[in-house]
Amino acid sequence: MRSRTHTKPTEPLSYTDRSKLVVPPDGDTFEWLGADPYRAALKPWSFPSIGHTIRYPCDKSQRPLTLFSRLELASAQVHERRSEVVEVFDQVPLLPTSRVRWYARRLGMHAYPREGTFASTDLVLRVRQGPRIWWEAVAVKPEKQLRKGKVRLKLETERLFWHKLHVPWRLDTDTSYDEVELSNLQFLAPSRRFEHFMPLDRMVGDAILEAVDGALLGPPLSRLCDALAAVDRQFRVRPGTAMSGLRWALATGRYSIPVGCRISPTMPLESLIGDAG
Amino acid sequence: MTPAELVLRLQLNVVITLRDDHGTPWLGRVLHRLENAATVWLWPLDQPPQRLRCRVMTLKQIVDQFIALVPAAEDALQVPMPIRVLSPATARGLKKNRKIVAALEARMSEFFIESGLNRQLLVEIASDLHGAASSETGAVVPAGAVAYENAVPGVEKGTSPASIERTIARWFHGGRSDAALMPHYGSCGHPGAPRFAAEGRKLGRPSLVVAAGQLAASEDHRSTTPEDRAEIFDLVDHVLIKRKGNADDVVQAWHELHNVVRFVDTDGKARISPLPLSATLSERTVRHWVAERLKEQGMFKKRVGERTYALKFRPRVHRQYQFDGFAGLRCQTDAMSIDDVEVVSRLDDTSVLGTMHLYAGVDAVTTMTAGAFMSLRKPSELCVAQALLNVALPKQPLLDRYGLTQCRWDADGEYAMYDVDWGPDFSSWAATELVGRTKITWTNVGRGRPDQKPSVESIMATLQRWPKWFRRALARNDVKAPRPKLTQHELALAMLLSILERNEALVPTKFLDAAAIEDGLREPSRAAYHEWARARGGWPMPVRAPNNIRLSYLPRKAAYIADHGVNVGGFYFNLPSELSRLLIRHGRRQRPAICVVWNDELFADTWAYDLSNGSAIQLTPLHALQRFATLSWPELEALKVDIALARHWALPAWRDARAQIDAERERAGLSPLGGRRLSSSQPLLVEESLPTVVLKELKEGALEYEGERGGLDELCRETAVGGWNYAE
Repeated sequence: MRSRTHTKPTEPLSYTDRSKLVVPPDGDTFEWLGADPYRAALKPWSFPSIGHTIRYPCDKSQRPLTLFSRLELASAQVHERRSEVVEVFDQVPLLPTSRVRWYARRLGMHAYPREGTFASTDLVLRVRQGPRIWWEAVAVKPEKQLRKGKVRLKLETERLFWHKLHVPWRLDTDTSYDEVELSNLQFLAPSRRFEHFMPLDRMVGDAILEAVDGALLGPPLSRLCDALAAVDRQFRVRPGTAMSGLRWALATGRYSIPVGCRISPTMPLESLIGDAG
Repeated sequence: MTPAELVLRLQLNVVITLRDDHGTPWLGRVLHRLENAATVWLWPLDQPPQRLRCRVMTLKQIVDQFIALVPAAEDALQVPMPIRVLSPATARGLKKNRKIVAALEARMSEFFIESGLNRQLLVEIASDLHGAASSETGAVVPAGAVAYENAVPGVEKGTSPASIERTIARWFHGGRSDAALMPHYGSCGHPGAPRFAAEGRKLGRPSLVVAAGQLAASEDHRSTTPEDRAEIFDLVDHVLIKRKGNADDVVQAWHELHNVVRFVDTDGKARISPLPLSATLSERTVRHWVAERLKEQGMFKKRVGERTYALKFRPRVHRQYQFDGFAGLRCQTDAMSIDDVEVVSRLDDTSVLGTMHLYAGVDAVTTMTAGAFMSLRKPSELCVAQALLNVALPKQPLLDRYGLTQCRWDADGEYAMYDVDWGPDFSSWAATELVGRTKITWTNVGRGRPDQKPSVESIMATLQRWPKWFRRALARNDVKAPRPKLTQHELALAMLLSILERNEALVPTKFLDAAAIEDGLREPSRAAYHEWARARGGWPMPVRAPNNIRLSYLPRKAAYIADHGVNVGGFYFNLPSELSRLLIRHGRRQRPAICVVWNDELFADTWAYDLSNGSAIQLTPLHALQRFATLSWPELEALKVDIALARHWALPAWRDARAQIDAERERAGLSPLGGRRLSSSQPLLVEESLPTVVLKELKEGALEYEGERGGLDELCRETAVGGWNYAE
């Protein structure tokens, strides 16, 4: 097995070791964020995480994001789906550290960030609307942790930092998202990314999609699953293929999801029938 | 003590039965109840028992009463009367002696109580119990036992005649109650007793428990006396239960009763006025006794025992059915080395090839094994890639290859999320690259938390146990050998069978999705549950086109070479020319070929293996210019497995590309491309270059074993190369 030593940075990550960090050419501006290639400041193995460490292949970033909780994953998925978001950056360091430390001292925290480390923001979005392009910083915290004073101070430091740079900063908690929307996202996102369905067989795929169209637009069916199973049998494909096709169509925008409609295996697509098409 | 002395003492001592209101014969509890109501039986042995009912009676008073009753006993009763309490640590003593006492009770009714005055029979009882004097079958102690029980192994301790006599004496002395058989109260570390440090140990902190009513050195308040407690209990009954107050009211009433004054001190804090010479109970202590009283009255719910709590109340976390998501979404993956099995060569039982490593992927919700990968190679990112590929590929060709045509393993499809641990093969930068190429969400669960992916841990434990079962089926193995010897093929078959077996195990209904229960599924097998999930939700997704899936799962180098069709399944034998051609074509850093030098003591030969068939074998060259890796025989075996595995991904793509090119050339009016035509049946290695023994193996599939053959051997003879091969 290949040795990992040359890819493993020194722990703890040294602030003086600039090669490990993405250092802005100009300490105060954040034009460097769009530099290519961008590298996340925190690598999975450089972070003493006690929980999940998730690598999520983000379409808009064209590279896997490194996320340190399920909540961050949910946040990244939600923001990735926003049409105005162009790119998502993860674990962006707040540099220079002296500035962060100055804000922290103003708030009464004297050892933050700790020597040899740096503060970071969970997600930074590049947003584009028409000709305007701007940045958005997103911090993700569970609602429960906001009761801790230390956590609130750190978030305030972060907010001050981005405020000084005229970057809008927002805080996402586990109550910021619609649960239905999140479950739909979880259900559909892999379909959109994988593109499983179409490359399977062009002709069969199109035929199945037509059949699914018919099932959706035809007379009301008591159970959509039965209709899709019939499609499977008709084309002699693996059970569930028509369902995958429907999901692919939903994920790629061929069909629109009614607002507030929950599509998941536990409460499947029957509620879609009335509105679809 | 001789039996005669025993009888003498029993004659002069008293038999006292102390029972409290609840009939509990424990002396320790009785002593607490003495001031309320106690029934004291005074029973000199030669007189009918007399019952005394008294409000307050100390032991001294009891003794005085007894002396008044039997004046002759005065001299004998100068012996201090032992007081015994029950403590958990000394319950063992009771257990040990209870057998003797039970036998004694039986004898008592016969000899002692009914015949009244026949005290002399105690000697016989003692000897009967010991079994030395009589050969009765009901004797407690075996007849062969001798007096010195510690000298004879196998004899129960404490059964010598002396011990029995001592026990009987204590039993009578303590009032024929079980509590009499406890160790002495004074030797139990009661409050106020002098403390001694054990050998080599310090004495430790002074106990916070002090004698009743005394002040502890470190406390402002005195400890609780029985009077205090009774007072608090009365207050609770009156204030809290009758007047329906709360605990604060009780504390307030206590303070009023004892003239405790709350006042605001000069520093602004609320204090309780300290009364000189009469320290009070602390408020915390009062509250404690309030709670105790409420518990006695049953006003608090009783705490259940540990077992009941674990069964009924303990919240269940990190169980497999509590994973969020749905069936077919998350796949838990793990690696394991099968250490219990020695993998031996097919050619030679004595040559050990190494340890097999197994990768398995398990559906997080249905716990169906979605795929696995076995190799002799050490864990690496390539192994992970192949495992993920195997999870996605259809399994039927594999079953057919192993002759298991009747079995079904419908678990193909791609998962969107994988839960893995922090092994270096799962967490390195190359794994990240794999994530980017395959577009899956890759979750490293918490470090040191295998319980966050319990399904795969469970099946790994199962698979670790199974191969041992197979050694009985093979004649070559000694049943008693600690590690059975299996060839790669046999081990792979064992793993395959155990996976299939496990997939047929039933899933309890309470672990199912709500939607599954709505659909009428009741205790399905894992396979049936998985099939339901796939049809219902379309997960896992159908496999993409083979070319796409291979390109995304294979490392970039292998995929590139396979795509361009460079000598697929081929080989290079004219080493310098072929190798240089490869190096020229692919550049120096690509290193598409591996030169295998088989070093043996007797024989050395040089082969070049081509990586272009899809198997990227990561061998670190010793220095920059070295393009040859030296392999030993087991490594060579492993290499053959890899290459045979990889052929099945590369060959179809190569054929397709070749056919496409030929078709285009045909359309353009050109002749088809020349060159070698390859097929699956073509041997992997150059025949001329192989030693004869390898040739024979490749031609015949396997060598004949010396020993007896069973059905398993017949199965194992089918194929030439061990390891798993999905895409035959």
